[in-house]
Amino acid sequence: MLRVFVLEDDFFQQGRIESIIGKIISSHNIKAKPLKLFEKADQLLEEVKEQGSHQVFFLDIQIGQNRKEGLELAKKIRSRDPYATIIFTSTFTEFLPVIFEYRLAALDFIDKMLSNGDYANRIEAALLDAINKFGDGEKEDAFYFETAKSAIQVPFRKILFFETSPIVHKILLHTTDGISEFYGQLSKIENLDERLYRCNKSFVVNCENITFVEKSEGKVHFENGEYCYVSKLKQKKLLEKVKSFVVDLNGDI
Amino acid sequence: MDILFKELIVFSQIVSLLLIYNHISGYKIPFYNYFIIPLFTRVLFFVSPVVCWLFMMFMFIGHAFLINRTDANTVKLFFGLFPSVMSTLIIRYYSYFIFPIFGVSLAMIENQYAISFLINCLVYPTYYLIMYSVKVDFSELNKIISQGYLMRSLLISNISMIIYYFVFQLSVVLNYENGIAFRQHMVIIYGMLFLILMIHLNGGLKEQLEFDLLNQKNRELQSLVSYSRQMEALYEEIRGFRHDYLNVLSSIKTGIDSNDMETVKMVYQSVLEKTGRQLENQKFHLTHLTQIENEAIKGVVSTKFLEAQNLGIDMTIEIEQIFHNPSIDLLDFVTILSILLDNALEAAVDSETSIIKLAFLEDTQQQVVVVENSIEEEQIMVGSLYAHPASTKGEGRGLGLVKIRRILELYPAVILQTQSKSYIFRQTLVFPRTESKGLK
Repeated sequence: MLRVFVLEDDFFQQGRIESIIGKIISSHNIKAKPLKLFEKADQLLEEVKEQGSHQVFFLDIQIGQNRKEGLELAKKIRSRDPYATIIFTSTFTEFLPVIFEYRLAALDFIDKMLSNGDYANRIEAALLDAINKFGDGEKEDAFYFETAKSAIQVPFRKILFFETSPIVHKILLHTTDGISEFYGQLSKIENLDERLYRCNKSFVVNCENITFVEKSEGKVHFENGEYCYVSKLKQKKLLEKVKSFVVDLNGDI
Repeated sequence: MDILFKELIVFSQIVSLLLIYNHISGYKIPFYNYFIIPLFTRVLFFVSPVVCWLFMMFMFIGHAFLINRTDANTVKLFFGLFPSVMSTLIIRYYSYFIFPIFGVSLAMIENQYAISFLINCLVYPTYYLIMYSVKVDFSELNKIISQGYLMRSLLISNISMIIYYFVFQLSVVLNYENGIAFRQHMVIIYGMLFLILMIHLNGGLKEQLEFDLLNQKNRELQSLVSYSRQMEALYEEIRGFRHDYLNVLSSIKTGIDSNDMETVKMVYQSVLEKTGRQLENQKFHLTHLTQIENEAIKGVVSTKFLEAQNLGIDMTIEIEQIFHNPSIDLLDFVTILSILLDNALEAAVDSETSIIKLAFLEDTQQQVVVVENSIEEEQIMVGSLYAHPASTKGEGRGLGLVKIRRILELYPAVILQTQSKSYIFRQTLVFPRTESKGLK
């Protein structure tokens, strides 16, 4: 069941968003608890009792004199519930897209200055998007690695492989959408998770993301076209490991 | 006793070579190597004296070329040749000229291993004294030479060292009648020349460093000037806006007083909506810069912002709260930031949407800089940017990344993240705020 929370201190805007969301819910026959409207961040936070993407928050960024209140609230919500759907409604100048994405993985930003029709369409799209996400309650497990110097965190499903960097004492982490370079040792990483396997002196692979192993060349291929090398001695063990994860996956389905 | 001294000679010779190499190039040599390498050389001598001689000859050149992949070849060669040439010069100088003064003839030196050992022990102190007294410091040689300055002087030094070394060794090996006299002359003449070359190089180097520093300061000043001009222009614009605003308010008031809804509507639509949009104009993003504590960073960002505007790129700057002085060396930070922004400008120009987003984030644990730009391709294979720095030389982005990674070698705690998907290229740098010093 959908739960919608709204943070908004302007009387006119309160009415506007309340009526728009009410119309969307009834026209799509969405099962939803009554919308809850708040003027203060603390009050809203007290009312949040569940977790999950069915919790949808529409937050104004500037509340009263505090220009960052909506942002602070979103951080608190995110720290309690990584799956909540957060959408900002504000004026354009208050929105900082890169920062919000980095800090909160905010879903969307809707400009209050939009005309009524556009404004309603954007809210509708955001709500439907949130509802679509209910189904995959798939927990996103994160890979977390901490050294004396720094800490790095990445969603595990994005990890392809780790490689020793040409720069001494550094490691290159290849992910589905890029590379991170950080301080560390492969020997400390290979045992952190059973899905990881050290298949070569300078590579640790994520067995779940291997698309195929080219035995003749000793290459391990990944979905985005990248590849790394597997040593002859470890090929058999690697294939076994990869297979075991495929079976596990089938078992789940 | 003689045998012991004979061994000690080899030992002291190699150790002084290593010390000189360490001093001049700045490469760290682990202390155990001061035992292992002499021992290895000794064993090699048993196996084959020629191989041993070649090893000693090429040890440093090989090391310089294998370990250090980024310096210019001329610099590597210089570091590789310098220790051998310097040490032979000092040894010969003592045995040809100094010791004979005290009645120790060349023949005695050759027969008495203890004296020979003593001379070898004097090599490093003498070297250090010379370098110290003429104030020669080559530790910054990398920076300058890799930029192409002073290359010719260095090349001449290299060639002269090679010629000297080979002619000298050749005359030892051939061992003809007047060999000693010839070598004595050579040591005098080349010794002088060598010293002059070193002083000349050193002078050029210092000059260049000062020049660079001055340039850097000038650039900083210029970008600050342009920043303050832009701020003035923005202030003017806001003043104009305030003036309009008051006018509009008074005309709305007249409308309300006379209950004329049409006038109110008209004034709102014609003026207020427009000025609202005006304030959203990207040039007001510059006002965020007041949240950056450091002037140099402010200067760089405003300069690049102006450049972006001139190129027709839509650049936004996001700053969450006051961004304090970075935890790494300021010059390194500014260099990294400039490279990131230059690359972003270059790539965004060619892309369809031409967008750059720059963000500064900070909390108690870390400082984060994000530079994001639109790109022409849907996705850049980030792997290729990291894998072969040499092969992407033609491409600005690849080379810039190499430079950034070189700087970050000094800061193990910093995390560099490069991402690319759906026509966006993004670089994220995370600087932990604890443990703020670099390895330097």
